[in-house]
Amino acid sequence: MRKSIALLLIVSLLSVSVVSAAGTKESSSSDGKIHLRSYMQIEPTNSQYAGHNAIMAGFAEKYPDIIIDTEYASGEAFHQKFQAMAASKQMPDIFTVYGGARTAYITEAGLALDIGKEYLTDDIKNQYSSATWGTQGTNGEYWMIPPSLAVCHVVYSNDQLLEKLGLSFPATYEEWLAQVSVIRSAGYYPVSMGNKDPWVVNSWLLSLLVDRLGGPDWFMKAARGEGASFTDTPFVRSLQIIKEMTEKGMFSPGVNQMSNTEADQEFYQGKSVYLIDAGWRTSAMDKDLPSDLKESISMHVFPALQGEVTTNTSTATVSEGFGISASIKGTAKADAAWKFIQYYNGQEGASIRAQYGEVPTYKLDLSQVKMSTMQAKFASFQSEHEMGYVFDAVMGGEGVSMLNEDIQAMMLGNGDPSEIAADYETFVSKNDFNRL
Amino acid sequence: MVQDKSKHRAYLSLLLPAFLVYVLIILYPILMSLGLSFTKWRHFKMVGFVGLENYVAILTDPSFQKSMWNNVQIMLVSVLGQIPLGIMLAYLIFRQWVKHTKFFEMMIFLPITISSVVVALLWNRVFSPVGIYTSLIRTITDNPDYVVKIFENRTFAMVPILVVLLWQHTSLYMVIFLANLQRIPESVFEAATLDGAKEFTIIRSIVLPQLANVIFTCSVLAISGSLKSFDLVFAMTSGGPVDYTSVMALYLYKQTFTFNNYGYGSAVSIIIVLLSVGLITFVRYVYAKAQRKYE
Amino acid sequence: MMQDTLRTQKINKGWKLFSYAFLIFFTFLTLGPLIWMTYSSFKLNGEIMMYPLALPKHATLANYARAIEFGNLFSAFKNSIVYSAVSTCLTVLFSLSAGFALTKFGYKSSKFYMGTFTLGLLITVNSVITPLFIMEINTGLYNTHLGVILPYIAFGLPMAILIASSFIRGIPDALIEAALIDGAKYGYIFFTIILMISTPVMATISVLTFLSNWNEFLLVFTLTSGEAMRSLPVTVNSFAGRLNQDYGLQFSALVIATIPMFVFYVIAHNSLVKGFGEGAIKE
Repeated sequence: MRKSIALLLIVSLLSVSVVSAAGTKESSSSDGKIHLRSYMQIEPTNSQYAGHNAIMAGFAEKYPDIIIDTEYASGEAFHQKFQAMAASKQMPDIFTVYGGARTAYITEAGLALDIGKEYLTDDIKNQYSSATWGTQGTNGEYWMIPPSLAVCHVVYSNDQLLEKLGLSFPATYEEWLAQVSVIRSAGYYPVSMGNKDPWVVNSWLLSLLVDRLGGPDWFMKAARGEGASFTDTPFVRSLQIIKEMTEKGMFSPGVNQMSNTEADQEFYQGKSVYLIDAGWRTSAMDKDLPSDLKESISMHVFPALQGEVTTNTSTATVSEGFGISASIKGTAKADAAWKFIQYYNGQEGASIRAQYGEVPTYKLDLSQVKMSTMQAKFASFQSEHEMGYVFDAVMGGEGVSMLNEDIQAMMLGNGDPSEIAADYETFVSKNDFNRL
Repeated sequence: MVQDKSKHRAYLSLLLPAFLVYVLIILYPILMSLGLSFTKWRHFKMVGFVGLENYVAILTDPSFQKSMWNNVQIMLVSVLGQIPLGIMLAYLIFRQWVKHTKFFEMMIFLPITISSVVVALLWNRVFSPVGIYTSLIRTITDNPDYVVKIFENRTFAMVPILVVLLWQHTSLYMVIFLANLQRIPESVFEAATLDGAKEFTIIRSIVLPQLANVIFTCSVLAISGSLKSFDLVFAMTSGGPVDYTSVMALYLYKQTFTFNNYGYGSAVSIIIVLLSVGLITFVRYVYAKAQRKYE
Repeated sequence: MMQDTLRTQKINKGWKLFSYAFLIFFTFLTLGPLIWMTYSSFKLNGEIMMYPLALPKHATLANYARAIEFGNLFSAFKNSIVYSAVSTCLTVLFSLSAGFALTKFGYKSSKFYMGTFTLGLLITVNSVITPLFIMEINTGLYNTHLGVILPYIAFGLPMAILIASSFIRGIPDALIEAALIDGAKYGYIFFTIILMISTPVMATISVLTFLSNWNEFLLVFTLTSGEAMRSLPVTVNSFAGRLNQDYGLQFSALVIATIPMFVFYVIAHNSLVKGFGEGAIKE
């Protein structure tokens, strides 16, 4: 027994020493190099970010005097910790920031540097496609350079199945609805969509419908409350369409139970004819699917709607990029951070990313780059369709959360479009930062 | 005198390490929460003192009420499901109604060693619309539209989660009861069987009274655990669809981290603590009464 | 011998059948998915999505290789061990000393302390995570091993003290009084008598604490940053991102994470039961 007590004591002592040895992170700047801390919402193992690691390595090689210490986080956990960092004023020097409302908790609190004022020049701006420079901050600030466009609405079709059923991609919404009975009696599901997390139906469907029926101008007016509101027809009708699609059996039965990956699975297994998903799914498709399946998948947008104001559009938001902490404004650190951002988004970074299948905002000659099957289709998709706004990139998070849950309830049979629209409008007029 | 002083010093030095860590990490932040619960926050700054406004808003929010009701369901399943099931399993194994008791014991305890993330993931693979169970039923009943409907039902959406919780936690109670069963003297059983007592009678008049104390403690543990429930629910459904499977801890989480309402979130945690204290006191009262009745 | 026959005498077939049926069903329910997850981890994600149930056509270790490489799994594993083992040892030590103090000294204040500790059973990690985070930043504990170990101990104490007190209460007072009369100091009594006798409870507390700490996620994630400090659950979670899920990668990471717990349990199983049997929870 003496032994076990001794053991206990030794372990406790060991633990103290381990504890004091570990956890000292602060690197001194006495080695003459600039040390930057960064916090990125990137999963290095994710195929979508395959180019990222290559870029980090390239940057380290080009700028040996700038050392970047990166912490990665993904999903909700990223935001959680980020908020804790903000609350305790421990902002990293470089961090992932969204152009829109997703990181409003940082941008509205003044914690991100306005690179529009500090660093951007027209020269630099012209090196990027025009879609890159959509509004970010409410006063015209720019928090980051978006590395690419995140396309949030694609209707994928399984052309082998279409041929087998004797159908082709519908030209109008009514045509699409008519296809439902044909598809179902043959034993397939029309559309797979994974709305377990309710933001899906908003980002990937509602935004598109609102854009078609109201157009970007109306949408911004409604957001700001300048002569338009969410009780107007475009919004209400969009909700009605979603309800109609659900009731007429467009979606496979598990639409509100499946995560997007599961919806993808249904589509890949050939159980459904169409898939509503985002544009970035193409990178996973390239990785996971056999080539004959890839060849037979095409990318479309929602068919024409009666009374639509814009035609053949999709929706996109600028994808999130890297911002600089406002607290290091004017210092050498900020300049170093800017160098990194330039590298990542500009010539070098863009070419690397293009090689790995991303369509960068930087103007590159893509014909020189060899793209994989789905990525090539994605690239042409982006050039064929104009992009409207994505709802949750513009409107405040709390309201959107409430709206999403209401839509999900409606799809489950408990909700009415006009009521939901009215509730949302009431909430927004009181709480949304766009209206203030 | 000297005795007393050195005794007191020994008392403190034995108690202090635990107490200090505890106060620092748990008590102090909770007290902070209490203070915060009367405030309102915006952009990480406290912008006002709102008194009981947060509490009123929470208690009148139908979403919170649903969450609370879900916690109650969990609690009922824990106390009325896991504990009796644990007793039954322990008894089963104790009386050696099956061979290979060691193996089965291990199997029953296995669920609790698996992290909730794994459990949720595997569960999903079985019951989701693309899962094994669903595919099976679709093939058998030739109905391609079959999904496990219960997930979408506001009243009953918790049921699957309750089943998984049952599966996960019963084992802990089983182990506790098994160990305590083994402390009942052999002679008691001998006497009863010699007297020709049936199995049920043995259970009712011998086993249960002996285990009474343990049952009480386990009930307390079960109640506190069920009010805290978070990991599994979060991993399985995140409270969805809508708020059908939300629980109070999830509600707290959303308020604190998605909406940055620190004041509001703090009020939720205080409410949870108060509820737990209330419930446990109630159980203690019931138990004391029952004890007096049987003595 | 006599006991065995008495015990097994009065079982009727109905009960036996029912018991077997139930236990086998339970085993299948538990082991089935785990086995599936294990052999699926040898398939690439595409194959998992297209043919979920089938055995691997082209079994590969690629998932494991990528998981270990990108996730720094060895370092995460080491961290998990440090966090869990150290906090468990200290929890055992502190809970036994507190348990001793609160049950054998007879001070009125003991009731108050006991009540405060029991309150801890009701507190969820979520409620204290933000103030804790801020506190750790301000005291420099953020991103250190100690910064994770202390909260682990704090959250493990209530249950541990409950168990320890229950057990120590059952130690005969006579033992302690005898030692006192012989002139022993309380500290000495603690280390020689109490700890010696309490080995069963020590085992129980260790297993329970280790278990909950090993699988814990939120605290490590929030209170540390960077790869060097990550534990297994945090790393595994990073493979489970919501936007793009690679099941193959996920499964291999999960298999690696679950095996240690399983092994640990098989080994520690006996001590756990013994500990409960000797009075870990009896009042």
